[in-house]
Amino acid sequence: MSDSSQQRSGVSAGTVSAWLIAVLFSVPLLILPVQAIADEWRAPSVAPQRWGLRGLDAVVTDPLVPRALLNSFLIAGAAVIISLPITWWAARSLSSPTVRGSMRVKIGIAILLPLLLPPLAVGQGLRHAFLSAGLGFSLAGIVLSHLVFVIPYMLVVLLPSFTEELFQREEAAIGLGAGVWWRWRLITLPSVRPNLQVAGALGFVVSWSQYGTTLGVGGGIPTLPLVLLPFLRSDPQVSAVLSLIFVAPAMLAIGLSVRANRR
Amino acid sequence: MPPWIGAVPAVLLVGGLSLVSLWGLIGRSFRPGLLVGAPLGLDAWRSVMSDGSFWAAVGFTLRTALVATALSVALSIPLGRALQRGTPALRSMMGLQIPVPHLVVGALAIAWIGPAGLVDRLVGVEGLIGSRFGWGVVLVYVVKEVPFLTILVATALDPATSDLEEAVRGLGGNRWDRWRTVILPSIAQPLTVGTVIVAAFVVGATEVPLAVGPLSPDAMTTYGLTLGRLRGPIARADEAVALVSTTVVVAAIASVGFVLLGRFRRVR
Repeated sequence: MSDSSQQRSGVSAGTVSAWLIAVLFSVPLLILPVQAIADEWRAPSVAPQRWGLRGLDAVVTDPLVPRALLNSFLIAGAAVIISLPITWWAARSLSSPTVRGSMRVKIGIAILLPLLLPPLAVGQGLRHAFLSAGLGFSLAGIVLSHLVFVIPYMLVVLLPSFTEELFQREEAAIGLGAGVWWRWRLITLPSVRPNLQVAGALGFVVSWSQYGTTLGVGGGIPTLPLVLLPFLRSDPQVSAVLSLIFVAPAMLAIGLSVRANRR
Repeated sequence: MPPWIGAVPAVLLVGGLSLVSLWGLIGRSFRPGLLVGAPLGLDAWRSVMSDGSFWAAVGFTLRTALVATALSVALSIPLGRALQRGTPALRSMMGLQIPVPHLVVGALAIAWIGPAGLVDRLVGVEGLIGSRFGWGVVLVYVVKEVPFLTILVATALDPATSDLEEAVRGLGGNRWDRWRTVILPSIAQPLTVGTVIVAAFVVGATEVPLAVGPLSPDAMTTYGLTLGRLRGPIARADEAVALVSTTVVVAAIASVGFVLLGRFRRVR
């Protein structure tokens, strides 16, 4: 076999195997909607015996779930709103051509390294300080603790949007007499918007998914992951309904990311 | 004003909160009991370090972290090579799993391979979820982290890498030569960063071992929670010792990563 034909067959075999793996990684998600409407699915049957909405009923009537859902929304929303301007400034500063490479690395490490910390350690460690500051067992305390993880993730997504080309176009706009507002509206925001949307969605998902930090700081304040965990091994149908609600923002983030990539 | 000044709020917030949490945890570990002004002492450290279940938790955590990370890295390299030639749609498909919360992957693992899960019903194989070895934890992390590492590898293998591979082939180099001189130097840095992140995530995980891990042994993070459940608030110092130890393990992983990164930079 010639080199080129070997390469061609390698390409197709590689692509086929990658597609296969990609499908294998995504198809398992399809069991959730089925499980969510399976009122009765006893072993050894591979298909549910009875369909119904018992899981949804249980979720809607459990007083803890709507509270947890609302808390998760408020916490994740607040974490993103607080993080956006902070991350924007950080990404812009770090991308500036006038910042030395070594300084960029040091600041980047200082912001990104805490990502590796165990979330429960962060939550338990902050609990005592937050109790002294009057933030203990409160939504505000939980939001603040989530910033340790939300800001680094959002920074990673926003950094590539502040390109040298963007800075040059801003310089050109200054030369043409554009003020700060018009520069921001006509040049900076349109360039950064796709990454900004993905960063916001990712930040939301990161906060939305926090378990350990919330457990440590929240002292029993219900959020979606905290409510979901006990159902995982006790009630598959309720766990599937909660998982579908839990995974919805992640799907939105993927959609935004795909759209941003297309642009 | 220095140009990096805009990054200061992020550094102060993220770095400051991290340091406050570590300080609080370390302080708590030296202050046994419930009294705020209680004298400092090493009682909690002595108690935890002489507890067999803590060392079982350390063994469980290191074992699951090592196996999950090794499997994820081993799978991600060939997949990244394949994905390098793939379409954007394939990349999106591969990235589908990345933002899915770990707990949802845990729910999927239970539904597919848990006792009375679909695989058990179809072919009669069960036992991964809740196994003492921690296969459930390993599986959840492999499923979650392989796509992440694969995309890192695929991104590192830019078109220039293919040209370099062609050049080595043209000079008579075999597959091993291409791997050693082109592929490995290209992926070493991003893969090291990814490996450190994956290992640190597995070590620091709480919800995954709670969801799909065994009742015993605990993971390092859940060891403190078990103590808290058994002994109440009096176990807080012991919980803090376990979490400080977990953070030390994560710091050790990060340090090894830094050393390796420095070495790869010199090689490149």
